[in-house]
This record gives sequence, structure tokens and C-alpha cells, in this order.
Amino acid sequence: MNTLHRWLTALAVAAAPVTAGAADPHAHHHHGHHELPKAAEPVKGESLYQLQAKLTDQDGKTLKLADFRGKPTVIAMFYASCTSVCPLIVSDIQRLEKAAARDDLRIVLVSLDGTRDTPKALKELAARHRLDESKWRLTSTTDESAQEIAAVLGVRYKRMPDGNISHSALITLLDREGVIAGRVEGVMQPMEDLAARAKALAAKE
Amino acid sequence: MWILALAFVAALTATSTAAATTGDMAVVGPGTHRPLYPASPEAAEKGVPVAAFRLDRTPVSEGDFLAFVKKNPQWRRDRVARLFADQNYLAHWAGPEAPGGDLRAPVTRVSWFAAKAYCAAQGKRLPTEDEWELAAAASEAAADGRADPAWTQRILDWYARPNEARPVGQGPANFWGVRDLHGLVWEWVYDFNASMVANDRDAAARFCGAAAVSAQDKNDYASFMRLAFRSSLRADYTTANLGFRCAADAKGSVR
Repeated sequence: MNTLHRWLTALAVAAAPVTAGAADPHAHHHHGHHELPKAAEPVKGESLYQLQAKLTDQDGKTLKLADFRGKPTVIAMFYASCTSVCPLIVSDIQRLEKAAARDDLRIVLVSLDGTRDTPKALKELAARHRLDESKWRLTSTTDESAQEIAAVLGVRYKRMPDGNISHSALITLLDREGVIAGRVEGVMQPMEDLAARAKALAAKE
Repeated sequence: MWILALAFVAALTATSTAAATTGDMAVVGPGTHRPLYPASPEAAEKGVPVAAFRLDRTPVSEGDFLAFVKKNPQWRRDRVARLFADQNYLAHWAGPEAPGGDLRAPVTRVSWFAAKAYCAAQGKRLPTEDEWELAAAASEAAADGRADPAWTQRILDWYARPNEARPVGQGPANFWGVRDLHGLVWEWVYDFNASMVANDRDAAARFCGAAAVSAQDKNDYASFMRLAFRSSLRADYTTANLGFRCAADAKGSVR
């Protein structure tokens, strides 16, 4: 399956725009070839939207990173049972969300703990933090996909024997095409700069 | 007829003595890895158990990687997506499908993504850091050679020496029958991004649980060098002295 995904990714990247739509196995289900305005353009070589990781969100729906294409998106890794740094990451992103003040900003959190972070656990977390769920997707995925996403973001993490996951706190802004447009490392950092970038990205059409 | 038979015997002999056939695997472990920075007091005391696994006896060679690139052209240096490999990916090759140098030399200037894809294409995977370190702790004579000062010194001497290009498989086989873990190139591991240098000034702010991390044996300088090197890596990085080898679960084991 992985090999197939990789092959499809490569095809989407390397091949001409005509085949890019066909390389997306989900494209057919939603709409025909005639209405593929943006998806017909192959994603850029630097784009995170080449990753084929399947994510499950707090509503139990399956999605891919590429589903955020077209909107400025904030992405961070976390896990629901983390009580130290993760709540701070969430509140930092909420500050960013407020400062950016854009309706089309999307936020996707990817769990490092796919086993324990069920949709139910993620839904509870969203409620606990009073997240605007029209913007926030809290997701989990397989260990291997989490590792790939961590790898492209530059997130470092290690599973501890006590069930905790030691990980670096990193908030990354993606442009409409899934290319990294900025990031903040650490928690409780100033968010104005990243918010300004998010605003600038969103202004471009 | 006897000529054929002789050729057959010769081929057999060649196979059995050529321990350096790339892609050939040795069973390593089970064993206990003693990490430099144990994740818990228990790990510090007892070490981390590592299940038996299979590991390539040699690093992947330029020739091996060339065959992979030919079969998987999305990994040619002129086609690879920038997300998966930086601009120095295979930069030393004469052309996108031409290494130019010795095909038996270890492949270098490959990213983590490229190494992972190569192993997946062989039905294998990258070794974990714990697995790699367990294999690399063995001297020629013992599963754990680290008590032998002469052996440790040889590794440190290599770290101090400039890189020399030579074919894979020429180093001595260690206790497990694995070669070139030291003395040839640095190697990617699957969880390279689990390595964090904890004496970083901002570590407490940047890492959950950083306070729990402390060095097990600060004298194990070779391990520290590898840890520091891995903690400096990013998944798209490629360097002139970084290669890889593949691993697989032990036959019949479930991971």
C-alpha cells in the first residue's frame, strides 16, 4: 500500500498536469475531471500535500493533508493525554488564530499517539479547549504516517516507557499549496509575526 | 560436464566466502541496548530490550542504489520532490543514472525518505536507533564490545579521520556477522528524530519530559557523537558521509 502511495505521489509530482487528477484516487468519488480547478495543478515539490497519510478527525471522518489545499493552514503535532506542553501548543495556536482573524484559516493537529487518540478522545479535547471546530481538525494516524509528518515538519519525538511522548513543540504555517511559510518553535512564544504571515498568505488569491 | 560441476562448486564457494554480498542479512539479537540517555530509571538500570531482527550485513552500495533509482525514477536526482531530498541528493553522481565512481562504495548523499523508500522496495525497513545501536555495540568477539578500550578507541579514531571511500564489506564481521557499522559511513535510522541533545539550553521549554533525560555514561563518547549527529539531521538532509542499510523483522516474529 505504501509503495502504491509513493508511486502515486511520484506520478503526481513527476507527471504532466493531465495525469495529476487521475493520480488522486479520491478525486473520482467527489467530482468528475471537468471540475478540478486547483487539484488539476500538480502540487509543488516542497509541498507537504504530497504526503498520502490518512488522518481520522474528531468526527471520525477520514481526510488527507491535501484536503487543506487552497487555505492557509496551521499544523502542529501533539497528543491528547499530554498535560505539559500540548495544552500550551493549543493555546498558542488559539492566540495565533485570534491575531490572524481570518475565517479561512484552518488548523490541523496531528497526534503522535494514534493508538490512544480515538475520535472520542479528540472530540473531548476540542470541547475542553472550546475550539472552533469549523476551523480545527484534531486528527490521528498510523505510527508510520505520524513519523513521516514529524519528519517533514522537523518535529523530534521519543516514546517514553511511562506512556508519555517527549516531543518538540513546533507550530508550522503552510501556504495554500502546503509549502512551509513560517514556524514558531517552543511554547508561549510571540505569535504576531506568524499571524501577520498567515494574514498575508490569506490575502493572496 | 566436469567443467560445469567445477564452475558450480566455484560459485558455491564464492557465495559462502563472500560475506560482503550486499542485501545479505544477519540475525542480530535478542539483546539489551543501553542507551546513552535512558528514557526512565528502569531503562537506565536494565537497558532497553531489543527483539531479534535481521540487518543487512553491509551498507547499501552505490550499485544497489543505482538499480533502485533505475526501477523507481521518481528517486532520480533530477526528479525527486524537494520535500523528500535536498539539492545535494546524489550530487556526487556523474549523471542521474550514473554514479561515476566505484559501484561497490557505500551510497551517500541520500535522504531519510530515499533510504526508507529503498528499504521498502526491498521488502525491508530502516533499523530503529535501538536496533542499530545494539548491532553496533558488538565487537568482533563479543555482543557488547564497549568494555574493551581498544575497540572503543578504534571507533573514536575513525570519527577523527577524514572519510575514505572504499567498497562495502571489507571491514571485519562483528559478533553478529555484520560489517562496516563503524569505519565507513554514518547511517540513517528509522527514528533518527528521536535523538535530542538534552543539554540544549532551551530543552526544558521545547521538549515534554526533557528533565527526565540524563546521560547514562558520559564516557561513551562514540555513542554521544552518533546521538549528536542524529539530532542535527533533518529528513531531507543528504551529506557526503551519510549512508544506510536496511533491516527486517526476524522471520516469524510479529512487530
